[in-house]
Amino acid sequence: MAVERELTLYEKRVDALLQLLPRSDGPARETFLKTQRSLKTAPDDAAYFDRWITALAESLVADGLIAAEDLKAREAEVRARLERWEAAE
Amino acid sequence: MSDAKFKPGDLVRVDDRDHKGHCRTPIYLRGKTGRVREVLGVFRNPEELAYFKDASALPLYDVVFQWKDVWGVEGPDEVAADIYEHWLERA
Amino acid sequence: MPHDGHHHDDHAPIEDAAEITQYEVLEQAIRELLIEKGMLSAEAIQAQIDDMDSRTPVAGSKIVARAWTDPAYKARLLGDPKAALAEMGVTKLDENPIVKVVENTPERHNVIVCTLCSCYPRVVLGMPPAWYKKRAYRSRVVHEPRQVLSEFGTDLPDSVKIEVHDSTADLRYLVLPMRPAGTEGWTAEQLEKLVTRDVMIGVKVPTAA
Repeated sequence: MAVERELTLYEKRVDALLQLLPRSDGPARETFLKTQRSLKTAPDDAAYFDRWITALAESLVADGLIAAEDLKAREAEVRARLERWEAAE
Repeated sequence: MSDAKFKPGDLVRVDDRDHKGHCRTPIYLRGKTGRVREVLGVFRNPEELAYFKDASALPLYDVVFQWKDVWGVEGPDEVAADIYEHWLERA
Repeated sequence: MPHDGHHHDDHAPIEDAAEITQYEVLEQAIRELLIEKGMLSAEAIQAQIDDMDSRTPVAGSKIVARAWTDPAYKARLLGDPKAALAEMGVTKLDENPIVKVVENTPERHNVIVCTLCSCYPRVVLGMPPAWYKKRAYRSRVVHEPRQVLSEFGTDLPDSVKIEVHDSTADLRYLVLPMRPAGTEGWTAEQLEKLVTRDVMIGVKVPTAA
């Protein structure tokens, strides 16, 4: 059995999304539940939170809740912000 | 509770219908017979989509299944699951 | 365990910028977009993280140890778990589900699973372990509980019936194990140390050794 460790902030943030989305009102709830159904039978040997955030992102785009271009643009912006902080250190 | 169709001790069978979409009745228990142990109360139907807070309320039951009734083989063990009323019929 | 501190600004830096993964970038982007679209709030996300940070299995251990030393408390715990948990300072955050306590006896051993996803009594145990969420546990424990328990070092005679509780709805289950032999006269504080997370899930039994 793997040695246990505390979750990283990233993992806690994904976990928070997974706890809050099914309790939310509106279309994100159904998108979450659909993602959950699809992951139930997917291979699950590693990287639980990575698999979840990837599948959730795909479902949100597929269901039209987030536009693919908006997501791509936001990811690029997040990376750019990180590079600015790194450069500033 | 007066609205609950079943009471503790009742033999119930889990429906074996298909359900597309969100469902909290596990496939391995569909079509299986168990006994109601407890009426757990009334809860919102998880299958009703999108507007969860408006979902209708249903009685929920603690149902105990004997190993042979779940898996078709002898065994000392049991499975217990919480099943919504609309998935149960009298056995 | 230390927490990074409160970052209510949803543009707050991720922990270690030098080793950021594509998944962390994706999570940041998704979270920001969901917040901007009003599907979630930054406050609710942070409150959820803070709540989980504040919960560990110690809460469950104290409850079990008290039930072992105080029969009246044990009766309240089994009869009205919400009130009994509140007595020990354990309360729900918003919509978190209901806890039910299932008691081990010489005839019955309880073990908890969520075959459909990974429902877990977070309010008393904190975050679930990784193995609890995997199919290797979720599927196997309803098919072959004795083998699964044996892999955890728990071997039960056939005279003990195993009851696998599948958390299929709004209830979350906590196992109240039997108090181990050799603990006569122990205080609740001493007994707490024997009550690990795994005995409250039901994959192990506590021992005084």
